[in-house]
Amino acid sequence: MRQTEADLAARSEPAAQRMVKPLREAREALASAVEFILANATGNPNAVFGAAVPYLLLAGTTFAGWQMARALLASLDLRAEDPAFHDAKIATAQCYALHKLTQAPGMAAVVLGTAEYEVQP
Amino acid sequence: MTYQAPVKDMLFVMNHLAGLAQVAALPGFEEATPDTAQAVLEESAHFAAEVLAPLNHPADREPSAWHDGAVTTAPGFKQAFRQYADAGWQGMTHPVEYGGQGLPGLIGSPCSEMLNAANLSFALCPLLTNGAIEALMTAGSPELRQRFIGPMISGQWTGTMNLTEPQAGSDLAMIRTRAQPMGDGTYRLSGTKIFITYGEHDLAENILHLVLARLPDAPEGVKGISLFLVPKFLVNEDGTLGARNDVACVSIEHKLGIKASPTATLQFGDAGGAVGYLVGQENRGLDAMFIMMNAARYAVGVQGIAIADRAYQHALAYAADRVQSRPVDGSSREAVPIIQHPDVRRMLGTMRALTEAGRALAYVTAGHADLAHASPDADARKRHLAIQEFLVPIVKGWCTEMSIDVASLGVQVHGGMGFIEETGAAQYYRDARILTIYEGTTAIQANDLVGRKTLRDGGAVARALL
Repeated sequence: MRQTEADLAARSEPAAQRMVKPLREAREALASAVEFILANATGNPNAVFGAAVPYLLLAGTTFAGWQMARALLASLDLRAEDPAFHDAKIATAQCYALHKLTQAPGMAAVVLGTAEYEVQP
Repeated sequence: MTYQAPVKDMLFVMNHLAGLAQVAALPGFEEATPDTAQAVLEESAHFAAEVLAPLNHPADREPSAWHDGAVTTAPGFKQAFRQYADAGWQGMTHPVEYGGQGLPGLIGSPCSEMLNAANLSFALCPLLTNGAIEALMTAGSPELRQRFIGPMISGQWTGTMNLTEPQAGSDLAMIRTRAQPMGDGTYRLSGTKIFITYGEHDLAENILHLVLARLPDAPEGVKGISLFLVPKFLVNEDGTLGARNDVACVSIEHKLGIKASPTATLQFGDAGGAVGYLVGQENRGLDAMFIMMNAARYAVGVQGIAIADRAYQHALAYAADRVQSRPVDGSSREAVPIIQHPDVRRMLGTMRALTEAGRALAYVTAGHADLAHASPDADARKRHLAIQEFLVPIVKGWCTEMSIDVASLGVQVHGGMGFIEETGAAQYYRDARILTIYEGTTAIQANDLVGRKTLRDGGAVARALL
């Protein structure tokens, strides 16, 4: 994912620039969740498995966003071939970044918070 | 409501994100050029739009029906299945030596998406048959493979997966169905299986049930489960059909969605025992079933993308047509199509973004699966397999959860009309609701992601991707 972030950051187009921060923050959020899972599975299995679905949804949100960032980069390069299609793809990738990737840090907070909060069914 | 497969987006993802060129460079996949991919996708899109999509809504109103042990499928399904089989779609990704076309999963995935988008209930029959073919291909003896795979690939017969019992859902350790060895290489099975998708139907002349059961001396728990092949009609040496086997469909379920897909309760062995053949080794049934389940879990993730896209297309068309209220920016003095209103744009944009993102994630996973399967380099196979196995529960869990959100937004875009069945948006919402449940609930996928995919390798694959 870091390579895709670097590729985005190296582009001058505002669409690419705008996606750098949400993608990086989503990656860091998911990385913190992975480390939480690894660190707590033995000592606090109820917290880890109580956070398993939020962890999966965070992973999906982040990895799917990674693919949208790659799509954005491809569409920037291919734009001349089919401007209508690629402009739509660029806009859709940004929509994803704004409406979905920005949720990743909050989703990671849920994963990490399961060790501290009691859940009452 | 019509459905047009997004062939352009599918090809974009295959070519520029999922590495179709790399896949086509693998031994055995030389046919999988971009031109072939495009031709196959266009043909599949035509079939989905012309044959399957028009049957979807009528089949929801007039679904499969059970009478006296037999199931009549929804109007038009029988003819559509014949067309599907005759065109060779069932064998697309299966080996040429068994009558398939040997194309990579990366080309199979978009075709599967189209089939499911056009008609989720119909598409479940080929989906389960694919699983049965995979299981036999992987674990079946040469005799079983020779006898049973070809007719499934040709669409002459179909396949099912029989795991669930009334007391054994997510916990397969509780399975009670018994298998008695007869000493002649065959077994006699008895027990009850529930929730069997296409467990009985009129689309094909025979049904091959893959059934989890216990041998008399089997150890407790999941280490005592074996896999058996139980045909609805016994098959003679020459491949012709023999007597009806001792397996009966005692009912089908009344469900929230996918109503046209018959969900059967099957009773095995009420007249002395259903004839079955062991698939793989005794007490190792779960290993074979996991292969089938892994393929099926990925396929259900693709179902999520499919239903999301269908819901999006439906909502987009409605929003372009429905005129309500003047725009907030004062650009018109008349009421305008609701697609011009910012919140409708937000909803449609979100539906589209989630669908396209899910498609990209799933096809990239399919690319890894093809590389894991056919790469000439053992290290590369191992690396791609690890990534594919890490991503499968995410594709299944995330793409199906998002499909419910997308289908719900689709209802919302329609306003009050969305709550009315005749509009059609509600069916996608109801149909999507099963996807986070069957083939392992989202929690089961998440436990797999945590336990087998994150903890077992100490986070190696997860960290490498990040």
